[in-house]
Amino acid sequence: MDALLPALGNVFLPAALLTLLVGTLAGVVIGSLPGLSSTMGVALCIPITFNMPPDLALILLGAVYVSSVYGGSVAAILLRTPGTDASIATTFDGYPLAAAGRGGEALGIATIASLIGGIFSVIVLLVIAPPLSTIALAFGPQEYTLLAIFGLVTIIGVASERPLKGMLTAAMGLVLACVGLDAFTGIQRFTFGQSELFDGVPLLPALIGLFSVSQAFNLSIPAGGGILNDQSQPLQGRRLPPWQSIRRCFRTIMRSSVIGSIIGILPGAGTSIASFISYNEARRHSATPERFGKGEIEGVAASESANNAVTGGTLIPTLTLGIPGNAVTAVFVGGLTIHGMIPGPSLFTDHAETTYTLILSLLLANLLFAALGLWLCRYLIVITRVPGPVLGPMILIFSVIGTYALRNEIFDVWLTIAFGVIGYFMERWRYPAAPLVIALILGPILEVNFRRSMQISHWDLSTFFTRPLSLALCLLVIVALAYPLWSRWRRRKTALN
Amino acid sequence: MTLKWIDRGVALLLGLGCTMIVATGLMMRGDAGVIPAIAGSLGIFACLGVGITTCKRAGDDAPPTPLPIYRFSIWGLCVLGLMVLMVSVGTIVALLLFLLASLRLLAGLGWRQAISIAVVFTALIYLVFAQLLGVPLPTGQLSFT
Repeated sequence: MDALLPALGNVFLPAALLTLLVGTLAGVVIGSLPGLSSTMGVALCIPITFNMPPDLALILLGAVYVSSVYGGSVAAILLRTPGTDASIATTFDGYPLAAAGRGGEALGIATIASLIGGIFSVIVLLVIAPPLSTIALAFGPQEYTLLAIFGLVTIIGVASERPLKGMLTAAMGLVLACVGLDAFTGIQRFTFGQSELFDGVPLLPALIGLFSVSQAFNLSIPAGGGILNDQSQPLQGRRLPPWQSIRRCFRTIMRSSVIGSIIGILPGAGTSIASFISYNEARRHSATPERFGKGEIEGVAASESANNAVTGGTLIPTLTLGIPGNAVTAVFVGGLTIHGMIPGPSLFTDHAETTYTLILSLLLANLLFAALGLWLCRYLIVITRVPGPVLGPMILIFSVIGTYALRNEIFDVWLTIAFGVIGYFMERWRYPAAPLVIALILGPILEVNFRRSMQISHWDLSTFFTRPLSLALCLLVIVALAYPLWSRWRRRKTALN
Repeated sequence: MTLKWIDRGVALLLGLGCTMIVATGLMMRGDAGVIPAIAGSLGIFACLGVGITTCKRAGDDAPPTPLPIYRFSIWGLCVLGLMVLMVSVGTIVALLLFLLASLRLLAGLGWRQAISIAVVFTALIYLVFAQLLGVPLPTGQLSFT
């Protein structure tokens, strides 16, 4: 902690502030472009940092990381095209709000929620990083299996109006997650000899197709369509969301920040799981759960605070133990190593000043993207007034270029278009796309850890109930499954009375 | 066609697909087929549920809004053209032509407006992706990108 004061001085040097501003701006832009993920943003910046001092290099990478996660919310709310997979849950309520002319309020709440989530996670990183990382290390395959099942249970919340259709699309997502070379036996599963599918169905092309390309179809095909339901509606474009909205969302934001920070610490769990679980929890605790998915401001707050809370959480195992929590932090580890800093406990002893400079700069980056976001939101909502057939082709172009940029594979672009057509007809025929994506994300985590657990226990299913942590997660899954049924029964009883 | 009939068709088609997945999963070596079999079974149950629901459902059967076939075909041709041109003549030309076609035919803009938007947007894409971010774009015969 002796290094904290010199680090504070480092952060406020003019060069550091300028780097922070450039990184934050770049992160917001990268995050808001579909297909350009946080991982890609950080990776693109690494070559730029080669000749920079370590302090400035880490400030740049950290700023790009946190602000790109926030940037994903802009396109998710205004265009229903999540810039990153972390913002999928934001589209559920953000876009209906934008369509109702409340895009400014949704962007404002997303900014405030991201700011609180981000700051909360940085404080967690600063204060309780070491003890929390030891708990995360106690997570074995059994716990990860149950965590994935818990994530899948959120599908009940996401597809509550059509649970059977939700279950069907989730099953399709799980099947798609099985495509590729099996990690354990090496045999090909459902690849039909396509070498591009050996690594499985790539997540981002599927995600971009289902959400962005289908949205391009939705906007381009109807004559005279657009994002706003009623073009004569006045646009709500104030700088700050109303105080009542902030107050109503505060508990949700805090709960989601805690969930995001905890999930962030678990290696491999990721931002999308955190935002789905938080969204489901917000819905479960809400007095008006039926409004979720139709433009509930709390839904936006839950998803955005959770995904930004993950940013600090993922850095906990990365910095303290050298275990990257997700793809972005894996790239981040590369950035640290290039500058001669080996992630692990030595970061807090040998390079304490630089490490604390990074952590403090994350605090400032959160404040900076919030200021930037609140300033920009009144101008950005004008997008909702652009006619659909003008906006649609532009979204398609961003989706196509973004998908190609991921692996430089034209196959991925075809896959994106195919998923776009599927997504378009799914929406027309009222099949929810979100369960498919959730299952596609969680499928590999579930499969690998389930099979590991089974191999360790020699196919004894009681292994999930004999460990304290997995038993606790089991109970959590049961509660999450039983709660909607209980709440429906209670509502019916109240209505009868 | 009503939603009920669409749901029945989807349930039948996906149900058959899921049955094949379960069968394939059960035949896989080792435990490689466990999760595909579980996922397929879940799919069969869901298909059965959707199918049964269509038999007894009264509400939620409004037909989806009619598909504007002409506009859908034009849009489909534009997207197909974009994909083919991207790999044959290069991204920039393909984007320019795609935007021009869709803005003229679907948005109904005049030539001058359509050309201006197409040129400005394509230039923006080139500057941001190819120049600023260094993202490689598909190249064709005209290989400047």
